[in-house]
Amino acid sequence: MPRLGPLRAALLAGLVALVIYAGAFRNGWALDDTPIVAENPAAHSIGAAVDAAFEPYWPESAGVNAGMYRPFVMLTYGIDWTLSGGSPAWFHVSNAIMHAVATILVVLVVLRWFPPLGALAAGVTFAVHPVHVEAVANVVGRAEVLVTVWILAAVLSARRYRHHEHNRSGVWLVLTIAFTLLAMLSKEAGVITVFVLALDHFLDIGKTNTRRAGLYIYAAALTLGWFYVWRAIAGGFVESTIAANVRGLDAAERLATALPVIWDVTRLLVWPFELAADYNPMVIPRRTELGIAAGAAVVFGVAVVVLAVIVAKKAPAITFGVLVAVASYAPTSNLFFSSGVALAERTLYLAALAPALALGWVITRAHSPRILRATAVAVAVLCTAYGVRTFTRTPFWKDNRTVIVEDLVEHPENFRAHIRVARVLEQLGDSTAALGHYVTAASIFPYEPLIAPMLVPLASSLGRHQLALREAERSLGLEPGNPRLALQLAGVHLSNGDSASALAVARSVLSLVPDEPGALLLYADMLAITGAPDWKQQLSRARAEWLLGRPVSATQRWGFLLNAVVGTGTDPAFCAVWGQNLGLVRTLRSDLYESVMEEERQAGASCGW
Amino acid sequence: MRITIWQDVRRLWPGLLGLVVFAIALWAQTDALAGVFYDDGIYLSLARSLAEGEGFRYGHLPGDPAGVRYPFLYPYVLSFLWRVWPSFPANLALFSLFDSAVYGLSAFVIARSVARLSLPGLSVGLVLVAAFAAFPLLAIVGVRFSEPLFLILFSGSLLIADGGEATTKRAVAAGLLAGLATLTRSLGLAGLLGIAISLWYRGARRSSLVSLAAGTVVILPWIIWLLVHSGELDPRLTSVYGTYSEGSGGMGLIQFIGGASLQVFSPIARLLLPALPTPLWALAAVCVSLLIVWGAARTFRVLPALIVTLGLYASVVTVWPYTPDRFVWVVLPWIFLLMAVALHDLWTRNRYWKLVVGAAALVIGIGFLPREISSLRNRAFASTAEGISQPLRLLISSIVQELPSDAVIAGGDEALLSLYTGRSSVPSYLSRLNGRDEIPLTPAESVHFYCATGVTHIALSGPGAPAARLLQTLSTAEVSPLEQLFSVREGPKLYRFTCPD
Repeated sequence: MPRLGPLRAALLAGLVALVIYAGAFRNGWALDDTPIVAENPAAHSIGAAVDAAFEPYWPESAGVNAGMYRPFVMLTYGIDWTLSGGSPAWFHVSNAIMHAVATILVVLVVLRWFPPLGALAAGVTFAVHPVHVEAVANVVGRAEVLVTVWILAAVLSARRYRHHEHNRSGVWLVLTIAFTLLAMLSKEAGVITVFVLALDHFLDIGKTNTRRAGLYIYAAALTLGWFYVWRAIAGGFVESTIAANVRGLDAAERLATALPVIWDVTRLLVWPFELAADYNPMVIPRRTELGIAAGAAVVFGVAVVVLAVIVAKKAPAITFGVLVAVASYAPTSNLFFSSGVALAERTLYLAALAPALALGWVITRAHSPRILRATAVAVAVLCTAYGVRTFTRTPFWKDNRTVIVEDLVEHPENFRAHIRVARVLEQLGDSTAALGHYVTAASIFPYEPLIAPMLVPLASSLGRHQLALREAERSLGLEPGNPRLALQLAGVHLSNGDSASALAVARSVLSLVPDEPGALLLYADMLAITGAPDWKQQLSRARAEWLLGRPVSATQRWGFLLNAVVGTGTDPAFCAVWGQNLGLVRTLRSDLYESVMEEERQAGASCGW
Repeated sequence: MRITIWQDVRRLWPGLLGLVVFAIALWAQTDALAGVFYDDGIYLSLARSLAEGEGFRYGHLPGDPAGVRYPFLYPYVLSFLWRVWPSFPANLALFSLFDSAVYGLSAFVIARSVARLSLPGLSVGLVLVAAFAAFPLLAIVGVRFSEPLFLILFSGSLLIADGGEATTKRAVAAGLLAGLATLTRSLGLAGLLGIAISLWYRGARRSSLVSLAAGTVVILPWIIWLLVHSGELDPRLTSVYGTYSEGSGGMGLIQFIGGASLQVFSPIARLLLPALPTPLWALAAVCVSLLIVWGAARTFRVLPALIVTLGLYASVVTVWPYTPDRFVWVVLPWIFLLMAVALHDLWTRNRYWKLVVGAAALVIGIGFLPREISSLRNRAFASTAEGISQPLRLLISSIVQELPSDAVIAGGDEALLSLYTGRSSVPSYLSRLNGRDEIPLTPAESVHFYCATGVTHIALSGPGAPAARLLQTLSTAEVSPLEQLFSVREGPKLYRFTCPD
C-alpha cells in the first residue's frame, strides 16, 4: 500500500471534495443565482465584471442594496460565463473545483499540527460536511468558498513569510497581503483574515522569526482601506436587508433571538443532517426576552472559547479550528450588530474547520494501532454519513422550483417559504391559492410588514376588502412612519370609497415623519384626490422635492406656489388654511425664495397677523 | 525562545502610528463636494483631462488651455486613479483612500526618523499624533489637496539626505524625491536647494551637485512645459491660472521681498495659544517662534538638510504673496517636533527651565487641547468644506436640470461646477495683482471677459462670494445683462447672462 504523504493526503481530500459534488453539475440557477448571475450583465463577460469592479455586488436592477461588495466573485462569474457561454453546469463545476482547492488548503494548513493521516481526516471531513452544500451547490455560495480559499492561502503564505530567513521573504509578504485583499474582495467576512493570521502566528510555537510582526500593520491598514471603499460603494449596512428575525429589535431583544442560535450553529457543525434553505421565522423564532436557552448559550459559548484558549499548547489545531469558527460566525451572528441573516448554512463554510480539525485531532491522538484503527473506522463512518447527506442534499439546489417546493415541505413553519410559493402561484394565475399562502405567511410571522404589499393588492383584486384593509392596517401598525405602507392603506380606503380615512392616514404619517418626502408626496396625492386647494398640494410637493434634493424642480414648483398664494388673495378661508400650513411654507421661506417671504408678509398683513 | 508580536511593539511603533494616522485620515474625509477649496477642484479638473486623454489642461475652461500653475505630479496620480475608477464623483472614495494612505505613510516615515532626535519615545508619539490629528491638517487631508503627497515626498527626501553618509546613491535618491516634491508643490524647490546646501555644508560637494542635478532632471519636463505653454492663457486669467511669475503682477524682487509679512509662524501661534490680551498674546507668539527656532538650532547637527530646508521654506512663505496658513500646516509635524526638541532641551537644563517648560506646556495645553477636542468631537474641521458645499449643491442640481449642456457658467468655484455639471466654466470674479495689491476687474472688463469666453449663466454661491458686489452692480444697471433665474435668501443665485450688444 502506498505511503500516505502530505501531498497525497491533500490531493486525496481534494478529490473527495470534487467527487462528492458531482451531483451539483446537473443543477441550474436557484434563488439569488438568477439576479446576481443569470440576469446580471456584469457577470456575463470578464470586461463587464472589470467595469463593475466598483459597483455593489447586487445589480441595481434587482433593487436590493444589501451592503455587499464582492468584485472578485463577480470576476469569476465573468470568467465562467466567458468559458461556458452561460451554462450553469460549468458554474457548478467551477464551484466544486474551488471547494476542492479549499479542501486541499485545509489539509496543507493542518499539516503543521497533524501527520498526513490526521490531516486527511480533517480534509475529508471538511470536504463532505453537509453544511457546505448551500455554499457549493448554489452558484452564489461561491463567495463563501472563495473567502475561505484566500484566508487559508494567506495563512500558508504568512507562515512562509515568518519562517523565511532569506531576502525573498518579501515575496511571501506581498502574497500574504494580496491574499488578504482577495479575501475581502470575495466577501465582507474576509476582514477576519488579519485575526486568523495573528491566531496562527500565536499558535506558531518556537519557530517564529522575530522581525515579521509588521505584517499585521500592513494587513490592518489594508482592512481599514477596504472598509472605507466598501462603505463608499456598498453604502454600509442597509436597514431593510436585516434579517426578519431581528429587524426592529433593540439590542437586548436582538440578543434574546441571536444567542439561542448558537445551539443551532453547534448542531449544524456537529450533526448537520437536518438542513434548511433559510432560517427565517419561525425556523428560528423571533424572541424578545432572554430565556434559559440564551443564558445556556452564553455559558456554552464562553466555555468553548475559554477551553480552546486553554488547550492552545497541547492542541493548537483545536484552538485554531474553534477560534476561526467563532471569528467567521461572528459577523453574521447578530450578537454585535444586526445582520442580513439569522443563520445561513453557507456562512458556516469556514466554521466547519472546527469539526474537521477536531476529527483530525482525534485520529492523531490514537497512540496504538488498535485505537487508531477503531478511531479511523469511527471517523470514516461519520464521514460516510456526512457524505451521504451531502450527496442527497445537493439536488435540493437544482433550481427555483425545487428549492421553493422542498423548502416548504421541509419547513412549513418558514413564513418566507410560503411567500415564495405564493409568488409562484400568483405568476401561474392561481390567485386564490397564492392569497392563502400569503395569509399563512402573515399568520406565521405577523411582525413582517412587507407581506402586505403583496397580500393587499391580491386580496383587493379578489374582492376580499376586509382582509385587505386588516392587513394594510396591520402592516402600517408595524411601521407607522412608512409612507409606502401608508399609501397602501390609503389606497384601500379609497377603493372602499372612504377618502376621508385616506386623507387621515396621509396626515397621520406626515405628522410622524414630517421630513419624509414619501409622506409629503402621499399627502399631496391625497389632497389632490380629496379636492383640497391646489396650492396646498403644490406646497406639499415642493417641500418633498426640496427634501429629495431637487431644488430646481422646486423653482418650477415655485411658479405654482406663487400663483397659488397670490391667487388665494386675502380670502378669510385662505388665512385659516395658511395658518394651518405655515409650517410647510416656513420651510420654503427660510430655505428657499425671497419672494415667498414677501408674499407671506403681504398675506400676513392682509390676514391681520 | 518564543517571541510574540507584543514584544515587537517597541520596534513597530512607527508602523502603528502610521496605521492610527491612516485611520484618522479616513475618518476625517468629508462628504463635502470636491473642489470647495478651489485648488482641489483645479487638481481634479486637471486629473480628469489627463485621464480622458486631453493632456495637462484646464478642461473646465473654454478652449482647454494648458495647465501652467499647478505642478503636475498630484493631478497625474489622481488621473491614474481616475482611469482605474472613472466614475465621478464615486471615484472620490479612491482619491480619499490614496491621500489617507499617503498621510499615514508620512507619519510612519517621520516617526521612523525621530530616533535621531533623542526624544523620549512616548512624548514623541504623542507629539506626532497631536500634529497629524491637528484640526487644520485634518481639514486639508479631508479634501483633495496635494499636501499629503507633498509631505511624504518632502520628508522622505530630507530624511534620505540626512540619513547617513553622503554617498552619491543617497544624493541621487534625495534629489529625485525632492524633485518629485517640487512637481507636487512648487515650494518643494526649497527641499531641493536645502539638500544641496546642507550637503555642501557637510563637505560633500559632489553629492550636493549630484542631488541638485537629479532634482533638476525630474523637474525639467515641468520647466519645459512652462516655457512652451506660458503666455497661452487669456491675460485676465493669469492671476488665478497663470504661472506664479505671470500672476505676480510684474513685481520686482525688491518689491516682492519688501512687502513680506513676517508672520510666518502666526498660524502656529493661533493654533496653540489660548485667548490672551493682545500684548501678552504677541509676546507668547514670539516665544512660540523662538521655541521653533531653538528646536531647529538643536536639531541642525543631526538633521541639517531638514533645518536648512525649513529655513528656506519659511523664507519663501514669508515673501509669498499669499496667507501662510496652508504652507505652514503641511509641515506642522516637523514644527511640532522642533518645538518638542526645544522643550526637551530646556527641560534637561535645570529646575528653573523645568518651570518654564511646564508653564509653556500648560499654556499650549490650555490653548490647543480644547480647540482640538472640540473640533474632533464635532468634526468642526470639516464644517467649512461642508458649509461651502450646501449652496453649491443647489446650484449644481439647478444647472444640471435646467441649463443646456453647452451652457458656459461663470462661478466662484468654477472647476467644481464643471466637474459636477459637465458644463464649461470660468471664474466669475477676476482680478489682477499690482505688486501685492489685488485689483478687481471693473464691471465693464468683467462683462467683456464673460462675453469673450461665451458665458451664458452666472452662478453665485452666496452674498459673501467675491463676485457678489460685481453681480449686484450688474443686476442694478440700467440695462442689465443679468436675468435672475432663482435666488435663495442668504444663499445662492443663478442668473442668465446676455452679452450686451
